[in-house]
Amino acid sequence: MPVRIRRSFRAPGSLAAFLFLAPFLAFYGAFLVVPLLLGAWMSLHRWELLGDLRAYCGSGNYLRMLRDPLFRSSLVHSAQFTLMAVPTITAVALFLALVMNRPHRLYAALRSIFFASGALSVTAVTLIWLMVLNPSRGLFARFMAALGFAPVDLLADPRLAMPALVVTTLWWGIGFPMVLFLAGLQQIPRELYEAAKLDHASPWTTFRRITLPSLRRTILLVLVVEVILQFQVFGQVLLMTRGGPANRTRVLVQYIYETSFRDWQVGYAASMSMLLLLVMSVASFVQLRLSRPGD
Amino acid sequence: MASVRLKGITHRYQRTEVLRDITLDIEDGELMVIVGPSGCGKSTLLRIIAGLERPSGGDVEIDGVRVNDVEPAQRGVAMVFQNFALYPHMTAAENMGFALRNLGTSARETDARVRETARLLQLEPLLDRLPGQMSGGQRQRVAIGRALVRNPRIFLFDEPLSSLDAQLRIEMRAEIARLHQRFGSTMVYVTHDQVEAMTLADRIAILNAGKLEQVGAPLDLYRSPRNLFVARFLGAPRMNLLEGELASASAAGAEVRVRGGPVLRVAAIADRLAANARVTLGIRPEHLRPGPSAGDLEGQVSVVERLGDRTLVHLDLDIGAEVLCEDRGESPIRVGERVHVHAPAGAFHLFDESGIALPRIVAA
Ligand SMILES: Nc1ncnc2c1ncn2[C@@H]1O[C@H](COP(=O)(O)OP(=O)(O)OP(=O)(O)O)[C@@H](O)[C@H]1O
Ligand SMILES: [Mg+2]
Repeated sequence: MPVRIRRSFRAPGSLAAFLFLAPFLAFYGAFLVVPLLLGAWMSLHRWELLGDLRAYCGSGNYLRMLRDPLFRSSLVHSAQFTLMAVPTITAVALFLALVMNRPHRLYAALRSIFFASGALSVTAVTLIWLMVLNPSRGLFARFMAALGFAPVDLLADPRLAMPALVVTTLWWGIGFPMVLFLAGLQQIPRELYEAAKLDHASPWTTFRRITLPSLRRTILLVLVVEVILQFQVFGQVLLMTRGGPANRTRVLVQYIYETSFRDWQVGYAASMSMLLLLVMSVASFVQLRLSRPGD
Repeated sequence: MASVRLKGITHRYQRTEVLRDITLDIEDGELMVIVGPSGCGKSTLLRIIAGLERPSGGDVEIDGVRVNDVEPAQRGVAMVFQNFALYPHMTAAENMGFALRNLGTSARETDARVRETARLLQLEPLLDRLPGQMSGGQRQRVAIGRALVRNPRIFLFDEPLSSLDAQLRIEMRAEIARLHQRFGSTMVYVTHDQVEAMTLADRIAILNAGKLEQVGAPLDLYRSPRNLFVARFLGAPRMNLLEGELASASAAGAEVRVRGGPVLRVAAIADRLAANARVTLGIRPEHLRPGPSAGDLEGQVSVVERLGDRTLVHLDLDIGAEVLCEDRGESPIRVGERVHVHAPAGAFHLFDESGIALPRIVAA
């Protein structure tokens, strides 16, 4: 008996479920699945943006990547940026969260301020930092001058341009990982810290043996999210250095953009996008594997 | 080993006053149980002794030394938290050895001491497990072990048994009593369970809404509660209360006219009260014996609870009050029957209008 009752409910139930899902599915299909398939299709062709060249070339675009020094260097630069930015952002976000995990109104205000920069557009952020880093009138130049150093144009220095971009990105994107860490810290029971206090634990021991292990999952999540995010770095680079000086900061997404919209080689650009997608899928997969519940 | 002295402790969270002028001496080697209803400030008092909370007023002394400004770790106290607070990423052995390691004890000696304590508490098979891989009772034993390893001057327990099932509670209660006998250490034990308080304590301190109501040996409090709160708080099932007024008072005893009912003889000295003063009469269920006839009070049985060794009988008295009385295990009383109840004059407690107990005449 119960079986029949359940079944009679299932059909209309699943229809309702489908109806609720439909808007999302339509959106997902139109803006994610279709472009993805189209991109995969295009990556197998020589395909001009505005012309009418549409020639199938099989793995031609992918083989071209292997031989393209500009592609290779842009991939290296994206990786460099990611390697610099992700650990820095993670560490600084954790530090800020530790400092600001206090129940005072001052810290609540500071938390909001740190989170607020994330709401700015990339244009606004780069504008601010172009002003800060301006070699003649910027805050940084004045600071250096006050310390008795000659002004440096960070963005024009082949070795310092990338770190300058990292700092800008850090300032812009610190809020989100910080909030994740704050949420993680709030999960740690207060009694653990009180027990540690009674157990003669130093602040460093407390951090290492209690806080850090309790935040393991959050740290992992932040690392993966940031790798995915920072590997796609583009706006800051385009607006602050245009890939210079001497192509030292030309990153993958910028190269894809230029290949597609400056050189009109959409097919080749699509194949590079596929590679980017692969990198990010791997990162997501690693995160899903490592953060499976129950360990 | 150490004594603890609380002198006029007052505590406020923001504006709410949680503790009011608490003065309490806990002697060396004593097991003091602090008991009271939820939210009365028991944990706060314990945290103040541990140094995890700074009192808004008053002094804490350990062994005669004022420790208000002494860090928790330096006070020589170990605390077993209500939810155990075991470090989730350390094994039982690491949990227990944490304090020793932090104090710079060698790994070898730490290991030896952890093993010794583990043997005592039968924790050896658990030493390599993480807290997440243990049952509630096992975690509780590890938490006690963690406190024990350090050989503290004072043990603080904050409702350590509250998350255990009934059977395990009884076992662990005995375990704690054994530990106390064996080490003779000073223990302050917080609970809201009056049975735990009665069975464990050398002395009980009853806390109510941030105030100490009474301090004393369990049976003293049970026999001579100072006021209505203590009378109702200790003892399960609770003391019955009847409203009435004073009919006569002399050095030999008093007579109380129960509202709407008979005059009962009470072995209490009430001559400080005016004639016809309003009073409350208290009588514990085990002293109120039912019988078929010739009792002082009469009523109809509404509920019968058979516990095996005894039977609890709920009565709706004709005078409009409800009382609970005890009969023997094989009681023939049934629901709906009419029953008389009676108690000897010496079993009654008498309270004045403000709930303060009047002195009882102890039978010679
Ligand atoms: N950090 C705090 N801030 C504000 N009020 C608090 C705080 N901690 C406790 N209180 C209040 O102080 C009072 C006493 O709390 P406490 O934890 O000492 O009670 P308790 O007797 O241990 O209760 P329970 O039996 O439920 O554990 C409560 O009314 C509680 O709401
Ligand atoms: Mg409590």
